[in-house]
Amino acid sequence: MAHQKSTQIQWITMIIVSLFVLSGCGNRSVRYNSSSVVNYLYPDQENPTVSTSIPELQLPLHVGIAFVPGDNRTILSEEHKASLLDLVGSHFKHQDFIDRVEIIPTGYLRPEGSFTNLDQLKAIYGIDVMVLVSFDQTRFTDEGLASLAYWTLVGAYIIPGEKNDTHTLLDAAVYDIASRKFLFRAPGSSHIKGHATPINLSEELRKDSEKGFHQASMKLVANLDQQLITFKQRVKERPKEYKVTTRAGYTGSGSVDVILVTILAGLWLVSIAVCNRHDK
Amino acid sequence: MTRLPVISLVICIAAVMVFNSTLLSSWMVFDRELILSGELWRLFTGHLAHWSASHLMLDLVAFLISAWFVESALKIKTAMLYITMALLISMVLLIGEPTLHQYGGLSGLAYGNVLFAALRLMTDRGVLAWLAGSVLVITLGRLLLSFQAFDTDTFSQTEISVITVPLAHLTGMLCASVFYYSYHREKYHVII
Repeated sequence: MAHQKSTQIQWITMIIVSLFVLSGCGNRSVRYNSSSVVNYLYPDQENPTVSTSIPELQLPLHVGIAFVPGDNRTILSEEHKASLLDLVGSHFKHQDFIDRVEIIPTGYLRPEGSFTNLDQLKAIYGIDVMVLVSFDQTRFTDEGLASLAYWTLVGAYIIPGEKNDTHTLLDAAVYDIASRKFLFRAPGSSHIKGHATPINLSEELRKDSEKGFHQASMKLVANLDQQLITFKQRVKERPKEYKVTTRAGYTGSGSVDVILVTILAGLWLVSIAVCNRHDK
Repeated sequence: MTRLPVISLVICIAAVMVFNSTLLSSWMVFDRELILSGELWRLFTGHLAHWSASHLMLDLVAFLISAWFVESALKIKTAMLYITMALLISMVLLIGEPTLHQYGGLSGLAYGNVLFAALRLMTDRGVLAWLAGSVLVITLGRLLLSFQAFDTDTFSQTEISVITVPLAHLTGMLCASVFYYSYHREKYHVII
């Protein structure tokens, strides 16, 4: 009796330990893709510094926007990149001091092209300022406890035992091409969690990747608006660091803002009230 | 102040008509090349052109409110003020903004009216004088700030990028101040 009990306890212990070991030893895979503005602009690691000058910003600005060339295992198709750039570019277009935004295909940027490549783009597109978008996406895939069901063969088709974590970081760095000066940057990040079966794992990873980029770009756009405001304020506060001129042939207006109109309306109403009181 | 600002109303109606007619807009807008080639009427009519409905509305409201105080004091001489301001602003833009291609908007005249109205009300005692003084300080402060970078017409709804030209506002105010002290030396009371 005691022997049977001892054997039972041993079996239970072995099963519990096995379960712990199996759940803790699930396979993990990591996929990593990135592009780097620093590698693109400063490829010479022995002499990384580039001399800058005071940027002359001619209003209204002509802006170019492009993805920095990444590693060869790119996970973003050109079509996807173009739609992301359209989203970011549309927020620049809303700014009145920006005349046009050119979406530049990645194929026009040479890997490690540096500022020489930007000069070529400036000549081709007539742009003054370049927005370089880079990304960093890491995808973790772990097998959870549910992956035990794979042993049944059918489980591999229907049980989503793969746990996916996709971390995405997008970064938009803005440079004045002529002066090589970095103007400002805006980041955007996202974290997508998902599940998949081994059979549709690659499909789910692709969907998570696209979703990750989309959510990161939404955050990037929100940060971009804020950084633009900060940059405009910085230019006003540091006139010696930034030179702002108007482009030849610009269109000007004399315009009154809402605040002044409101103040004037208030003054007029008070005048009417004072006049009426004098009347009485 | 019960006197209707007839001259100013006529200008506002003209501005609306110009805005609603592409032909009139193109014929009247301040255009540097065309002025230098001999179309001198644009020095006066350029201020009637506007780039968008919001641009027009804001300029008209500011111009008309401030004109109420000006025209009740100057009466028929208001026309002289407007002609002088329009010409002076255009000449200053021709000389001082060599890269300016086209210009439009009544705000140069509106700013001049605001200064004239504020100076007039400040001769009175009481709350109106303080209010007028505050309005003047705020207006001058915002004008000086607008000389800094990136001051664009944020209410423009046109497809073109339009840059605000604060020099026009400053010139309007300087012209109106000179006009005020040159032609009106006596104290004004607010006319009921």
